[in-house]
Amino acid sequence: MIETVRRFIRLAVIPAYLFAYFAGLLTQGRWGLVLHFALLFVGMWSFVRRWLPIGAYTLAAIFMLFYFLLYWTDIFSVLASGLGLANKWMLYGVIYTLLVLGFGVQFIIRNRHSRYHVWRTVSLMSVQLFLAFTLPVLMPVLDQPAYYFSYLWPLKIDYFYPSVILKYPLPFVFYSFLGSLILAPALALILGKRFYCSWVCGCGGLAETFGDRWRHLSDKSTEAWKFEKVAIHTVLVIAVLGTAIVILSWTLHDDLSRHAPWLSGAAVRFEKIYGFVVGSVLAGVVGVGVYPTLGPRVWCRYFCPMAALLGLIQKAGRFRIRVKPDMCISCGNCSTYCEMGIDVRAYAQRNESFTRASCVGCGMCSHVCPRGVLRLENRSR
Amino acid sequence: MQYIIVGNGIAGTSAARAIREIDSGGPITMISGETAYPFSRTALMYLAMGQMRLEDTEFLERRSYRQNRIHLLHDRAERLDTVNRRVVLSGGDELQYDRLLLATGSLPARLGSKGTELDGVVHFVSYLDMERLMRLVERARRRSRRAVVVGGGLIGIEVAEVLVHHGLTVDYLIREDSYWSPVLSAAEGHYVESHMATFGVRVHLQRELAEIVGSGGCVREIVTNHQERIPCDLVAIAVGVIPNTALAKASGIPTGRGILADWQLSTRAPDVYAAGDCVEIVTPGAPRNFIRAIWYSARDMGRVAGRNMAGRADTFDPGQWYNSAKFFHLEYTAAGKTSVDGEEDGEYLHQDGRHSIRIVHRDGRLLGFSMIGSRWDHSVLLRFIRERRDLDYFFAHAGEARFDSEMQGRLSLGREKAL
Repeated sequence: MIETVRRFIRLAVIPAYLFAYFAGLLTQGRWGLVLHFALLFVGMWSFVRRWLPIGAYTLAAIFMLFYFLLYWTDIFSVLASGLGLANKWMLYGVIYTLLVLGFGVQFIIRNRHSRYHVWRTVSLMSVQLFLAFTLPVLMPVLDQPAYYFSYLWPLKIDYFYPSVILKYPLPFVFYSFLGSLILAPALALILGKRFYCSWVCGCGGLAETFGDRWRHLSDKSTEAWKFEKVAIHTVLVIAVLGTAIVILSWTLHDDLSRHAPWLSGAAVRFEKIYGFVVGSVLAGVVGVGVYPTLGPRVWCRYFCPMAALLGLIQKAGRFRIRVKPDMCISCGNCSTYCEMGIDVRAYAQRNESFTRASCVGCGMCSHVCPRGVLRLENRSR
Repeated sequence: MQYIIVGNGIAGTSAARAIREIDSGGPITMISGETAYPFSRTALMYLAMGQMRLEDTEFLERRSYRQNRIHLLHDRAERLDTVNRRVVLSGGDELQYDRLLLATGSLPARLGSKGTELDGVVHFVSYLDMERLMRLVERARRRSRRAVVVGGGLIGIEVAEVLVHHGLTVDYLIREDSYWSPVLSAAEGHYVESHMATFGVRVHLQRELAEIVGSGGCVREIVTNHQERIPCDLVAIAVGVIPNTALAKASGIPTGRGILADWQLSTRAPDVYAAGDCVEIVTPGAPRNFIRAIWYSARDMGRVAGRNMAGRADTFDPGQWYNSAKFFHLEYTAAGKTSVDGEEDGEYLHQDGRHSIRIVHRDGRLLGFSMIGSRWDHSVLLRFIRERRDLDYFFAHAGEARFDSEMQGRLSLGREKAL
């Protein structure tokens, strides 16, 4: 069915473009521009995919270039104003949300037999559309500062920076602290970190929908696992220490300026460097850039401090993947399609139910298992 | 102690692991002409569908063989010299052994029909078969896109799924009155047939392959035993497997249908063991010998043979019967006795749009389960049987055995409450 749709698009896009051109639709202000780009993009994409296969590394370079242009040039500001959007971040939000929604629908169709997948993806799509896009756009209209309810510290690290969060009304401040320190850890204890990483988070949302086609590329080697453990916990420690320094320098501001002026300098520098290295480079340029070469969860697996924190809680919590004894046929589907590079099959072969800190509970291993050996569950105890 | 294992399927691989658990020093050599590294044969269809690459289907990380000092030899063993304890390889080289395991698996059963030698006829048992099938599929896609599958068993339905996946039109010939009738009841067989039909597979029951007609050496059409002619570009034959005894026969090791062995999996040749599909286990005084071409049995036999090669004296115990399979999207779990024999066996059957369950019982006591389209923990079902529970107990405690994913929703059992 999908192949038919693709064939139809390939056949229809040139006539559609010509029609739009001669009917003058392409010059109708903002929507003309949108139509222009949409037809051009869809048309080019379908032709490129058919006749000019792009290698994974080229695609990765294109993604990285996109983020480079977005973060450090004005190209997207110009484009945004041409489309009548407030700024380039709004344009980025539109693109991001459209990717999550479009590929989310595709994911749901493809995995319609698994209700877990359907509900999970519906959740990811709604969170992206409402909490991460519509609400933050609407709030300034209602004279409120934009707030992203779906992002929590330490992923959204500035929601613990006093200088940032205290600009918001008090309920938002409460939500930020309650969400990060009580709500998220409690839910991770009961449900595992999947409640966040595979049901709510925007990074996860893009990975599970747009990134789904690359999920089998995750690195399954033992070396990758070792690197993951060092890298992700290093980021977590840096994030926690940095936040502490920022809060400390803000609280003790007056005393500091007299006795330890270096601390406020360190706080400012931390905010800048962390924002650049972790926020822009690791989460954006690298995180999404390497989708076509190392799979969609590179940011989540190696660098995200939120995933690290929830992962530690998950290890102590009730979530696990239960293995049905002696039924595994070692086919390898589970390990292949684990986007976190967990060698699920090794546990299944040993009849060992397990909880891994990195597991985001996407449920794909269980879904692709041809013998129904794996089951995600919250132990009742 | 020098160990040599001929065959790198699941029997050979689990034997190697079992040896290493006991004897950490003795060099182990695994010989296989099929692939360089052991891979899971049950994943053959996923390779054919492009869902995985060969590396993805390998049992263990490649470097773990070196770590465990298991030497992999990509070569064919032509003959054993059981007197001087040597294996002769295809190039004439010889290897010395102290203990040897024959884990040569099975070969596809062949049909005597006319035309099976034509280009376009394929089996689906080995990696080579898979590569050949892929080439034929590519060719069929450029021609009439039509394929015929022969044989109403597990391999047949897997090939049918592969062919459908690649966009071919499949005509499926089944000799019996329903799909997989030696194992499934007629109602279950028909349930699976209608599931196949939703994928466009045309099932022809009570049809055998009479002749394959070719032109220019290539398959053009087939003729059934009812004289129907079905045009096609490829014919996949999956009418069962037979033990691969070629190496044993060439070496003078006694064989029947399979390589003859006892329950400790020793063959009649000194220090030569056999495990997996290729074995025929003889019980002195028993009317029938034991042959079982099941992945799980091969795994367990390999473990026993490996331990015995390393000096133990374990006996292979087939244990309570269980098996699993997948028919297109329908998962299948069997536990215990699923055949109904004679008057005293009763049968409980429930089928709806989502799934099918069949329970065999005697005087209400549970004997076996045959579950299609839902997931069950066979180990719990087997416990119910061991504990001599009855049907009512099952309906009350079915939740303990159900293994479906979270959120899959209620499952009707046809009686009592739904799950």
